[in-house]
Amino acid sequence: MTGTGGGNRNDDRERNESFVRDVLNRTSGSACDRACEQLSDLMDGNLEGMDRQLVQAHLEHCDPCRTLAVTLGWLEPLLPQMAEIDPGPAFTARVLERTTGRTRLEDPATAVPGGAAGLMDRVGRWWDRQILRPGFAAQVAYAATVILVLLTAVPGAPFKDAPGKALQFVQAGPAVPAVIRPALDQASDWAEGQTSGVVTAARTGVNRRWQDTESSLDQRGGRTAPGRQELKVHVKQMISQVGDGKLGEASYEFLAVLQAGSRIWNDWWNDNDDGQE
Amino acid sequence: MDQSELLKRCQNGDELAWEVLVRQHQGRICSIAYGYVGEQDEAMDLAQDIFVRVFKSLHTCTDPEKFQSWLTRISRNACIDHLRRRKVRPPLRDIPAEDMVALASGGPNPEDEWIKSSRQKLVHRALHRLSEINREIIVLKDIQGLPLEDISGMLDLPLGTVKSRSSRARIELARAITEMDGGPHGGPIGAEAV
Repeated sequence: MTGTGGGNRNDDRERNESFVRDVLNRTSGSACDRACEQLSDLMDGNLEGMDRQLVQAHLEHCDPCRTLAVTLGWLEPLLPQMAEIDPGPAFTARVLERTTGRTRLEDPATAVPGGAAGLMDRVGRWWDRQILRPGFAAQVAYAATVILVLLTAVPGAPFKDAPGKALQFVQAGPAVPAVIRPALDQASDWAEGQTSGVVTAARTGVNRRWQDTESSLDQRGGRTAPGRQELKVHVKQMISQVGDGKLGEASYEFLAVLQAGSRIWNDWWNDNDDGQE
Repeated sequence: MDQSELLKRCQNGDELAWEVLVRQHQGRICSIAYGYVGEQDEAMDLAQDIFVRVFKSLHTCTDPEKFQSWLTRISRNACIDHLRRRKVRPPLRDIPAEDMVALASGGPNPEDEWIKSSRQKLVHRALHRLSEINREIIVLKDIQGLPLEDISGMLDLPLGTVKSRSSRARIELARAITEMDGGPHGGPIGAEAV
């Protein structure tokens, strides 16, 4: 009997609500808009007297407005707590490097020289800044994808036929000599095994803390610094010699540039040298 | 620490003073950048750019009393410029404001912390459903706590307009949150968890 009584009460309440809604719809319209206008004032404690009572009465009967009021209730103390975000210690270091360490161009002692040398110096500084940016890897990947598409997928692209030829090669399975076929199968099995290993390794890598990555970048930056300096010097000399028409000497400098590039490449990837410099 | 003296030292090229200034304000600048762009890496990059801009413009801040307001104005201008550039060149990724770095002001209870952190993420996502002007008002007034007069000057809007828009912006934000968090009855980190 109790359950039936509760059910009747709910039915009565529902009927009353429905009646009030119908009357409002046929007369003044829904009171929700007006209630919403005053909700902020209610939460701020700026609503008093009759206005306060009217809004509270509305909230007792209106689920959506009550939910909105509850959300406003927890938003109010939460928003000021979002005024500061801890970006981590590396952030300060990067800002200091980009300002006091790198951007004091107005200081005569560290002023960038003009001409080709200045250009190389500026390019070097720009590159140093870029490589430390958090979004750098994603942007490089994006640029690489765009270049790949431009080279292979756009009408008139120089390597437009490359994907088709690669596909033909893969599809030409039966035409592959019988001796090569088992080797390909073995290679396929091996690749499958390696793939799962690579996926596991990649997942582990992704789970590494950002600090590790950052530390690695710092170390690599430090390791490649001499190489980059060397590269700048040789490029500068090469440009200068080309400008003077000394093409023979410029070609030697070009070789030196290639060697410096190779050294940077090795220093960047050779983790065994960490801490030795 | 005397802020006026600190600013003067920064303007005279004292690197230690500049470091202190950066540490004092980096949390706030990062929060403003995150509020405007809604994506972590992008916000951190932008926050660095803001500091570079501040460093180059330090000599233009002549009234130490208004340094906070000056700093916020530079940050806001940098964010607006960044968003304009982004409209021309869309971001590499979409903008789910996920997984922000450790948010300031920790607490002892892990469950409370989880709710708070989840709600902060929800708020950041909801912020990007608002109109630009309402988002700015929420970031500057409700999050950064700037006086309405300062916001009025920054946005070049009458004080009364900022005041009325502020109430509407909060309601719009609450509405966006309830919609994202499972409709009018709220989700696990919204209304019912209170």
